[in-house]
Amino acid sequence: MSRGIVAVGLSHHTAPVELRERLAVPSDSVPGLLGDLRTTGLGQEALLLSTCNRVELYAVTANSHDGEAIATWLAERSGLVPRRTLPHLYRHSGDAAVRHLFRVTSSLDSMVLGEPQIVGQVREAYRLAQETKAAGPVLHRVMDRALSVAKRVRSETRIAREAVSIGRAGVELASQVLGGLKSKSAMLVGAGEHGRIVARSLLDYGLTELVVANRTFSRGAEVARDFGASAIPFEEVSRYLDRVDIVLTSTSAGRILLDRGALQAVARRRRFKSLVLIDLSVPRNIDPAVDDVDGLFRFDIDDLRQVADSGKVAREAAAVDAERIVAEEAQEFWRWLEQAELHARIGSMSRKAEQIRLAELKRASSMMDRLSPEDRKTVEAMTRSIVKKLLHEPIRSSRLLAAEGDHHGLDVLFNALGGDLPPVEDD
Amino acid sequence: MDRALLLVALACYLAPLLGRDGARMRVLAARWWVPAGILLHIQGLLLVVWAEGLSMGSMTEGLGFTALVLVLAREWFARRPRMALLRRILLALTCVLLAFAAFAPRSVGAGQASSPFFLLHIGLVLTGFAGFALTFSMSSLYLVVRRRLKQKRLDDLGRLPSLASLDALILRTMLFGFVTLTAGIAVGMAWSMNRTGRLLPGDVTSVLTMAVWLWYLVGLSARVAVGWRGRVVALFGVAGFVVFMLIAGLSFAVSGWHGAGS
Repeated sequence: MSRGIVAVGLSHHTAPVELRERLAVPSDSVPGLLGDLRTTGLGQEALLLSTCNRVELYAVTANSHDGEAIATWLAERSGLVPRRTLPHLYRHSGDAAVRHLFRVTSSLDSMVLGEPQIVGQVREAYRLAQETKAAGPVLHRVMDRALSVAKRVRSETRIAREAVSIGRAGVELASQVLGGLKSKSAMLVGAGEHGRIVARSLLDYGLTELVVANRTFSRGAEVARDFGASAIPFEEVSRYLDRVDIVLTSTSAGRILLDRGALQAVARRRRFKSLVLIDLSVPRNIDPAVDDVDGLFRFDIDDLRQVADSGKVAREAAAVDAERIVAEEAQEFWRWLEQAELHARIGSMSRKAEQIRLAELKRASSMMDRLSPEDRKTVEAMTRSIVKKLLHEPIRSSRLLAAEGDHHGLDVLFNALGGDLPPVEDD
Repeated sequence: MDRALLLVALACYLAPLLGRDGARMRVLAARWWVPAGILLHIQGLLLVVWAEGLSMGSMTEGLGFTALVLVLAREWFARRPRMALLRRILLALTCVLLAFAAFAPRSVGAGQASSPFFLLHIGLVLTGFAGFALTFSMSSLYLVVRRRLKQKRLDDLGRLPSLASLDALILRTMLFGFVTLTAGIAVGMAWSMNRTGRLLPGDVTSVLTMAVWLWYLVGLSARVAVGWRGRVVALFGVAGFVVFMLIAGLSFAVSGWHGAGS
């Protein structure tokens, strides 16, 4: 059963932002996707992690080969041509999938090594899976473990302390264009997490004025209050483009909000005074075609990664320790999961044998009724002992096979003894 | 001897480029050879003036003077790590101008040398051109940094100046060049009026100088009055200087300053 854990997805390592935004799933569509996956029978349990940098589907499947089918399904569901998309999708199964999840949660696979946002994003993905009842006993276990591994990595290594945040990267880019942030103003469009992080960094580095625009005004006002900024109605965004020096977009609109034509007009009105556009949304909100417009400097999440990577050496040194912890934890978890699976299969087999014993005793009830209570007890003890002795050798063999990691041998053994077994029960 | 000194100065400027980055020899060379080069450069220029007369009117003197301003500007930026690329651009321009100065034909602005007005005129005009040479360097760097940002080559941004600071430097150097050139032209006109009764001699040099003045006037108007900035102004700075150098070189080769060349 546990060998059916698969992780299928793509990330900034394997796919450009154009493809990531096509595959990205807004949080309100996640329940639908998880439901569809379970309906198709490809996954018994499922969890979707969709961030700016990755889209990953973790599923508990009937067998470890289902990763390929899930990858194709995911591409087709997003309206992509599988033949072109599949080369960008990775598939991990079994212990590799568990290790991958631990690495992702511990920020070892992040765009900015050690960045803290990913833990919150994984937690949110898990919450959605729980709410939609897509997470079962195996995912509960693996997610709990993944979150505690991330905590251990952060407390036992310097990876988090050495991280150059996305926020700082945003400051660097804005400063490279504008020279400094003093007497500069910015507009935050949307209330996404990355946007708020960069806005906070800009304020920390001397930004004078910040305005927040959000589709839901009350939410924008709430974010603005946190920053000591002012909120503006979403309809005012285009007017403020003429006034501010930096625009941050971090929405879940899933489409272009600021197109080339509108921004070109803004650049003209500004007489080509530099305007820094930092698009932290995936799918992007700012038309990449503005790159050839004078006075506009657009950066997306991949560009911030480039800047953040500049402090990578120190973090990579810390990451060596973090990788060791992850490997250790993944191995331990996998061992636990295999043991849990073995116990479940043994338990299932024992229950089946007990059912057979009781059924046989029931069949012989007319004969048993004639026996004295002492004799009846003796017969029951004898049948129990026979079952126990019969099961002793298969159980011993199964433990040996599990210790040797012989999964095929285990399958053969249990199938010979009882065929398909019920799923693992949470203990 | 005078030309040889200019070439030795050129070699001194290039010396710190030898050896690998951070090598002790290279650090020492940067500390001693460049100042030594500047001294030799000044000495060479003085010898040129001695040999060709105190005219400031020869190509060697003009280019040598502009190169000196550039190398001094380069030293001005020596302690600013983000200006490393600008220093390279200034060094390259210095070397080109100095090499031309060293190999330019000898010429004397004989009859005009005696007038202090003429000396002031040429001095101011050359200082103005040196300002435009600086504008050219800043503008080139602006275009390089802008291109890197647009192409998303963001790996070592910390080593480059910000676009805003370059934009400000472009404006300052352009203003400096324009004001000194305007003053130089005014002095030249007064001198010409006094001497010939005409505001402009009407030769290639005066027409070219006025064209350069007009070019930068347009550039400055676009920047200051209209408010345009960034790439357009940088392109003005680069194109103006390149075209000027090409035409000036050709016209000087044919007629010398105000027809007083070889």
